[in-house]
Amino acid sequence: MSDVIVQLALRTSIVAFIVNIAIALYGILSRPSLIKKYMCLLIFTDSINLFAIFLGFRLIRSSYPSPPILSREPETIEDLERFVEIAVDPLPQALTLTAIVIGLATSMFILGLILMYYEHYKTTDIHVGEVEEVEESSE
Amino acid sequence: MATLLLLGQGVLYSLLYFLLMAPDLFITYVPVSVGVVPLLLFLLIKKTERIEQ
Amino acid sequence: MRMKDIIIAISLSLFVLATSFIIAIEEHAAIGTTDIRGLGKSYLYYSYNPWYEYLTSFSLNVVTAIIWDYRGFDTFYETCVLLASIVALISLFRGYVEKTGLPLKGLSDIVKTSTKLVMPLIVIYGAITALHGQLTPGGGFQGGAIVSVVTSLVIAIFSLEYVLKAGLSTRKLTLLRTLGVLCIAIIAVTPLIIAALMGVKAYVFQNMAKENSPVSMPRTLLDSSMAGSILFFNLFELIVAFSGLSTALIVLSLREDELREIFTVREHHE
Repeated sequence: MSDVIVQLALRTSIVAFIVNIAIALYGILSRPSLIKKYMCLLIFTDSINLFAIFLGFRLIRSSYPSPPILSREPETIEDLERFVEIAVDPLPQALTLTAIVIGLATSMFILGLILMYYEHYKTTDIHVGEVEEVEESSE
Repeated sequence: MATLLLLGQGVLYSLLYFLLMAPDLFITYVPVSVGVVPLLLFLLIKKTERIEQ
Repeated sequence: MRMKDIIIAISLSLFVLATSFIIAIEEHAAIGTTDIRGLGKSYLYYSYNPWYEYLTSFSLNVVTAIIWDYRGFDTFYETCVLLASIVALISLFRGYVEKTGLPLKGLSDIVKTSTKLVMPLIVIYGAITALHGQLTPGGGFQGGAIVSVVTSLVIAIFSLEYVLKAGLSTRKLTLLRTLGVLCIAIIAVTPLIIAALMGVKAYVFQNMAKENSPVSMPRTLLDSSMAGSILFFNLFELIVAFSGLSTALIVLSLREDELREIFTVREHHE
């Protein structure tokens, strides 16, 4: 009985992640203000990073899974083998750490670009910029 | 406004990192999504908003 | 709503249906398993293992060992990507000056005094998290992000005046950052230099002694284990992350007077 509940909870959370990604994509593509596009990009990267860590989780029946950090130095080799049976996958966590830093770098540059766009066109609406470029290229 | 909801969402995502047994990511995501990114967004919104009449 | 929005919404809902059908119902992905893959298991097994001396890295925190020892190149290039984005941001705002002496406002006195009490504690907490990266959860970038919250507090509560009066200008911070990246590269190359002087072979980013080369960084510091070069990497990553994020915060919060020179110059050119 608890097996069915656990499987149902896992599948519902995966569907929730994918719905999150779809809503963020819709927000990027069809909101005309640049700042709203940036906020939806932030939601998008958050959801995907969380999904990557969710894939590394581990379901153990007998006890709680442990984070991938040793609390004390192991004295015998059996302690180490028991730790390997219980701990969560460490590899997606290391890769997601790099992804968060690179996302931060991209965010800072995008905000600088938005500031420059505002100072040139005096608005953060993308349709104003499109109309002016079409007029310039047709002259 | 929407930035307050973004702040609340950042806190809840960092709580999810803690529940999925990833303490390194939790410690790095709390100052990034609560301390650095909302301040940049607030500065940008203050500069690009004009009172329409 | 326009036609384009409706088409986008319909295609995205089809995407949601298709992906959730594949993953959640037909189970083509490994989700919620009782066993992890072999690579993760070997990282967990060999990270602190005094019985296998040629494969271990003597650090209790497995994620830090992966980031700085087993996959050191990835982290080095991630640091370079942050440097590139800050250089791009500064060159976008080319021609700004930083002026002190503008009238300063800031919030009320109660908030200012209580912030002055809290700021040294935040700096100490960030330094502890960064320097104990191999024993507890933490590491270089975590400490750097915590210390850069101090800059954002000072900009929000006091004004930008205090930051510039305290001597932190973007030129000094960028210099600090480039020195940090240079020091990381020097520590990565140190085993090679020592091995060339001794006449044996060594690898780049090498931490402990391997089968072909007996060069090894020190193993313990006073009485707790220090995983060789990971301590130095964390220390320099703290300096690098703090200066990088503070530079971006200062550049994006410049005021009208300082930015006016850029925009008048640009309008002359057009």
